[in-house]
Amino acid sequence: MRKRPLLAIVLLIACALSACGTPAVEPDPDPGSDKPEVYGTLYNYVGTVSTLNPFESSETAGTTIIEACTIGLYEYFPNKTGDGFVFEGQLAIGDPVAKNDEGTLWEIKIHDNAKWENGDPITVDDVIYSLKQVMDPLLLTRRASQVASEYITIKGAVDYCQQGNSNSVPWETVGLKKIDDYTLQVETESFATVNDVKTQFSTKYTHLVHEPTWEACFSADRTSNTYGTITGGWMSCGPFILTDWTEGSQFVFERNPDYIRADDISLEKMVFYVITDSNTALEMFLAGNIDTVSLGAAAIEQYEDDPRLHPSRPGSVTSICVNIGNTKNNNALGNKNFRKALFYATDREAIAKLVKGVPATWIVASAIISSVDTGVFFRDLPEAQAYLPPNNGYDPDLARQYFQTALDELGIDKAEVTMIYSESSSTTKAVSEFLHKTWPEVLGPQFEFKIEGVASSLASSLRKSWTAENPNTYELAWGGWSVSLTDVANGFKVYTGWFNNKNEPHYNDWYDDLWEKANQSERGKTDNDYRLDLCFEMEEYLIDEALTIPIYETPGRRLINDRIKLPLDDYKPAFGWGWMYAKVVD
Amino acid sequence: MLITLFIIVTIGFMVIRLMPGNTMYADDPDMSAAQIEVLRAKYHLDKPVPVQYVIFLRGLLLEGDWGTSISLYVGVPVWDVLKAKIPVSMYNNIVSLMISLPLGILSGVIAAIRKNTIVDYATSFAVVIFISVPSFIFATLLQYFAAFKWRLFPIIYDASATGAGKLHSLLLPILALSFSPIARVTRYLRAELAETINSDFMLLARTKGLTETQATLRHGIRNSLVPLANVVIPMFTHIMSGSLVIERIFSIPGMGGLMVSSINAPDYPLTLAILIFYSLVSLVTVLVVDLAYGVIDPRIRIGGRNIE
Amino acid sequence: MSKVYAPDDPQFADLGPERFVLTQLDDSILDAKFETKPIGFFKDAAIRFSKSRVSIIALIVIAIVLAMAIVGPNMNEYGYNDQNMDYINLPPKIPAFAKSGIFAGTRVLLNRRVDALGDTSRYPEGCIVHKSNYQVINGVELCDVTVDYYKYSGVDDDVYFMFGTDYLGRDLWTRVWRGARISLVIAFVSVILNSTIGLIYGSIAGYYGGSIDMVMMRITEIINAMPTVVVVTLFILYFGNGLLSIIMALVVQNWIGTARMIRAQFYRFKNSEYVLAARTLGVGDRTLMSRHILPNSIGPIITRTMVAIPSAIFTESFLAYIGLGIRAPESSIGVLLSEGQKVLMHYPEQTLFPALLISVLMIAFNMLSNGLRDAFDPTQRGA
Repeated sequence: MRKRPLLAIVLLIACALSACGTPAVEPDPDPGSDKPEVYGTLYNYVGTVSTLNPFESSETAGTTIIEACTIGLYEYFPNKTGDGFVFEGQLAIGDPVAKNDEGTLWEIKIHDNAKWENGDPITVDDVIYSLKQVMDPLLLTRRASQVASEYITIKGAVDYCQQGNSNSVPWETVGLKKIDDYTLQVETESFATVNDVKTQFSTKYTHLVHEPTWEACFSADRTSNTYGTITGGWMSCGPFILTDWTEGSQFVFERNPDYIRADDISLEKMVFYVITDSNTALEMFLAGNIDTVSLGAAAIEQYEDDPRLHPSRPGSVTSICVNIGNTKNNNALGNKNFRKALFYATDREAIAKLVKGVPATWIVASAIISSVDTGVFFRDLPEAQAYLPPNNGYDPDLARQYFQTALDELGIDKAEVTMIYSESSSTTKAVSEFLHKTWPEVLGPQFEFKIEGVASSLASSLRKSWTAENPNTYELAWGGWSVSLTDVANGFKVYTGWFNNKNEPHYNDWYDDLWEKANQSERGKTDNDYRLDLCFEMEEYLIDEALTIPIYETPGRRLINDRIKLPLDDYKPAFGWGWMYAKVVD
Repeated sequence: MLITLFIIVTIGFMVIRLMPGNTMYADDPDMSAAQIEVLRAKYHLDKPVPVQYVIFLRGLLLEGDWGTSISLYVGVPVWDVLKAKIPVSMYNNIVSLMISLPLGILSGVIAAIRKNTIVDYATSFAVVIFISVPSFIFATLLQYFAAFKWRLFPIIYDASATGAGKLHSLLLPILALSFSPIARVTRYLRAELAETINSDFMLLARTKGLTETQATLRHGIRNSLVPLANVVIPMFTHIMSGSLVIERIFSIPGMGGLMVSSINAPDYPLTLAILIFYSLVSLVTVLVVDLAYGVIDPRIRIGGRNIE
Repeated sequence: MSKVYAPDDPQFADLGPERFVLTQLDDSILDAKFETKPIGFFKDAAIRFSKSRVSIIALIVIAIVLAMAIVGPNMNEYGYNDQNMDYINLPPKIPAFAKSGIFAGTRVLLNRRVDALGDTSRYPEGCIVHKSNYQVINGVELCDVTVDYYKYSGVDDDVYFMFGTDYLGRDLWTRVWRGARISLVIAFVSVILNSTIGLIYGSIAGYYGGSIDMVMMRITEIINAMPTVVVVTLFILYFGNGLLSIIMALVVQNWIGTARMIRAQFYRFKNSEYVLAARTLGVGDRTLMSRHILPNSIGPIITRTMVAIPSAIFTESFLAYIGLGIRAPESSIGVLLSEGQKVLMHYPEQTLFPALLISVLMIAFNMLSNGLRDAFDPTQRGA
C-alpha cells in the first residue's frame, strides 16, 4: 500500500462524486464500446511450479499459469453482464455437434484465426498432435489416462496409451480424426452428452503444445520431453504470452493481441511471483507488491473485518480415512459401530474454532454445485441436508453406546488405534493433537489412541499402499479429495470398488452400481434430478458407513487489493477468481 | 577417493531405493493402475534393486547420465535441474562466505586481543545470540523489519534484477545466512587464539619486544588457523547448497528446498543425484583442505608418518 | 678468595677419607614432608573454578534452568497437554504487571470496522483499551484496536497465563519448561554420545596413524560427505520421529567433528618430547593415550561440548521446522520455535520465550565452558 493515503483520498472523492451524480452516469463499463480499455498490471503470487508442460503439471499453481498462456477447445468465461460465467468455446466455435443418434460421434469446429506467439496458425493438426502427445505410449504422461477416458472415453485411446513399446495399436485406431483444417471429429466408446464432450476438452491437460518446439524438446529415445521446464522450450498461444519465466521465482505475462477473444482481456501485463511462505506473501501484500493474498488460520483473526477480504467456499472436506481392511484389534476398524463411535465422538465445533473453519459431517464439499445450469450448491439443497446428523455429529453418549456395542460384537475389551498425520500440515497436526486428547476422554479407558507424525510423502504413500496381502499399512490417516466442482456425481468415484487410487479398501457392488447409474447411464447423463437423487443416496450411505470420517472444511480467505476489479467479485467454482479478466482501477 | 565415492554411491542408492513406503505416484489420483505399471517398467522400478543399481551405474559411468527426474521436473535430466539451481545458491553462499570469513576472523582476533574487556564480552554476547537463535527466526525478523517496515530492501528475491540490484535484493538473505558462520568463526578463533597466546613461543615473542597485538598477528593467528579449518571446511562444502529455510522465506529459486522436496515428492533419481553430487563436492573440499593443512602447519606433514 | 680443595694443598692435609662417616646407610632417602595438604587434579580445578565469579553465575543460571525444567511444568494447574478451545492464542498476562501495559494480556487487532466497535457481542464491555490508526479502505472506516485480549475472548478475570497460550489453548509456561526438559535431554545425550564416540575414534586414528588412520578417516569422509539435510531426513524417515531417533540423527554425522579434532591434537602431541620420554620409560599405548596426550584436549573438548549442546537444540529446531520434530503432543524448544515462526507476525510472544530461553542457556553454557577450561588448565587463564 505504497500509495495508501493518496488512494484513500482518490477513493473518497470518487465516492463523493458517485453519490452526487445521477444514476444515469454510473461508472459502468459500456458493453457497446468496441475496444476494451487496456492498461495496468496485476501482481499475484503462486506456489511452486516445476513444469508448464500441460500433460505433466499436477500443481494447482501450474494450472493457473497454463490457463493464462495456452488455449484449449472449451473454457469458462465471465458473461457480458458481469454477474456470472458462461461455458463456451475458446478455440472451438459453438458446442460440439452430435453426428449420430447414439451420441458417440461428435464434430467440433475451431476458429481459423488463432495463432501461436510466433505467428504460426493453429489448425486441427495442432489439436490432434497435442492429444496424440499426451497419450503417447512411450512418453506415458501423467495425464494420459485422464485424456483417454474421463468424462468421455475416446475410442481406442486407452489401448493406445497403454500399449507400451509393443507398437501393436496404431494411432489411426484412436477416435480422433481431422475432417478439414478447422473441423475435428471425436468418436467415443459410449453415449456422451454435449456437456461431457465440452468438459473433457476444457481440462488443462488437453491444452495445445507447439509441434516444432515440442519435437525439439524430445530426448534421443523419445521417452521424455522437456517442454515447459527449466531447460526446455515454450510457446504461448493463450490470452497472455509468457515473456519471462525464472523458475522458482517469477512469471511475467503480456497481453496477447492475437488471442481470439482478446477483447475479454483488459490487463496489459501480469506478474506472478513464486512465494511459498505465507508470512512473506502477507508482507508482500501489505507492502503493496502483490494485489492479493490468501490468509492462513493464524492471520484470519487480524483481517476478519477488512473490507478487502473475500471469502470463498471450501472445495474439499478434510476427513479421516479409515482403513477398514486393517486386521488389528480383531478388525475393529472394519466394524461399522466402531467407526460410528469415532464419528460421533468428534467435537467438530471445537475443531472448527481451532482451524478457523467450518464443522463438516458430509462428503460433498460446499463449493460443489448441483448443476452447471442453475449454479445452486449441492450443500444448499434441502435434500442434501436431511440426512446429516444433528449437532454437527457430536454426541458423546451415542458414541459410547456405539463403542460398547462394537466391543461386544468384536469380543475385545480394549482397542488401540493409531492415526498418522503429516508433520508439514499445521492444521491437521493441531486437530490430531486435539483428537488425541478428546477421543479417549469421550470413549473411556478402553479406547487407546495414538498419533504419529510422519513426512508428507510417507503419509500419503502409507495411505495408498495397502493391499490384500498387506492390509495394515495404516489405521487412520488424514485425507481430503479435491474432485470436480461442477460434476457432483463424478466425485463419488473415489469410493467405488474400481477406483485405483482410493484411500479406503471399500468394495461394494451396490454402491458401484449407483455410481454407474448416475454417471454412465443415459438417464443419469440427461436427467439431473435423477442424478442428484442418486448422489443423495450415495452420500447418505457413505456418512452412515463412516468409512471416511468428515471433520472440517476450511473456507478460502483472500485479501484483494481495492485497485483490482474482478469480473465476478467473488470466487466461483469452475470459473475461479478470473484473474486474467481483472481490471485495474487506479 | 574413487573408492570412497563408489561406496557413497552404493550406500546412497540402496538407502534411497529401499525407503519405506516406496510407491511411485502415490498421491496422484489421476493414473490408472495399468498406466502406473507401464511407468514403473519404464523407469525400471519393477526390477530388483541390484539390477536397478547396475543400470544406474552403467548410465552414470558410460554416458554421464544422472537419470531423469520422474516426478518433480518430469522428463528433465536431473543434471540440468542441478545446473539451473546451483548457481543461485552458490552466488549467495560465496558472497556470504566473503562477508563472514573476514568479519569472523577480525572479530575473533579483536576479542582475543582485548580479552576480558567490554569488547570481548559484547562480542561473546552477540556470538551467542547468533548461534543460539535459529536462522528462520532471524530471517523472518530481518524480512519483517528491514524489508517490510523500513522498506530498505525488497521483501523477496528479485529475479529480473542484475548486478547491484541483484545484490540489493539478496542482501537480507545473505545477511541471514552469514550470522551463524560469523559467530562460529569468531568463537572458534577467539578460543584458539587465546590458547595460543598463552603458549611458550608467544611468551618468547613478547620477550623479544613485540607488543601483544604484534605477537598475536604475526605468530598467533597462523597457529590458530589449523583448528579453524574444522569450522571452515563445512562452509566451503555448503557453498553450492542452499539454505532451505532462508530460500523459502525469501523465495529464492536455489537448492535449499530441492533436497527436501525431492525426498518428499518422492523423486528418487533427483535425491540420488543430489546426494552423490554433494558428496563429491565435499570429498574434493576435504582433499584440498588436507593439502592446505600441510602448507599451513608443517608439523602435520611430518605427523602423517607412523611413529613406530 | 674461595678455597678450592686440592689433595696436595697442605691446608687440607688432614682431610683424609678416613675422617668421613656415612650418616645413613640403612634407611631410604625421603624428602621433607609438605606442610600443606596435597590437592588432587580435580580439587585444584574446583578451587580455581570457584574463584571465577562469571562461571559461578553461569552455573547458577544453568542450575536454575535445569531446576525449572524439572519443576516448572508442575508449577501451575495446567498440564503440558491441557487443551482449551476458549483460551486459544492468549497473550502473556502476569498478575504483577497487569497495570503496566506489558504482559497485561493486551493485543492489537488490525483493521476493525469503527461502526462495529460498540457491538458488545464482539467486543465485550471494557475490553477496548486504545484505538489508533484510523483509515478508510473501500469506503469503510477502519481503525486498529488494542484490546484486553482476555476480556475479548471471554476469559475470566482471574485466569492468568504468564507466557500466554498456543493454538490449542495450552499453557505456554508449562510447555516451555517441558520443552526445555526434552530439548536438554536430547542435547545432553547426543552430545555425550558424540564426544565419546569421537574421542575414542579420534584417539585411535590419531595415535596409531598410518594405514589404520587412513581407513578410519576414509570412513568418516564417507559419512561426512553426504549432505546433512538428506542424511538426517532419510534417517528420520526410516526410524520415525521418536526421541531416540532424533538423538541418533544428531549423532550420525556430528561425532566426526570431535573425532577429527582429537586426531589433530594427537598428531600435534604424540611426537612431543614428554611423550617420547614417557614412552622411553615404558609407558603403554593405552596409558600414553589416556593419561598423557588426551588431557591436552580437555580444553577444546569442553569448548566443543558446550557449543554442541545449544547447537543440538538448534538442529532439533530445524528438524521441527521441516516437519521432522519430536512427536506431538510432546513439546520441545525446537517445536515451540518452529510453531512460533509460523505465527511470528501475528503472535510474536509465542516465539519470544523459547528464543529467550535458548539464548540464556547458550550464554550460560558459554561462560561455564570458559570457566571450566580455565580451571582445568590454568595456563589458559582468561582464554
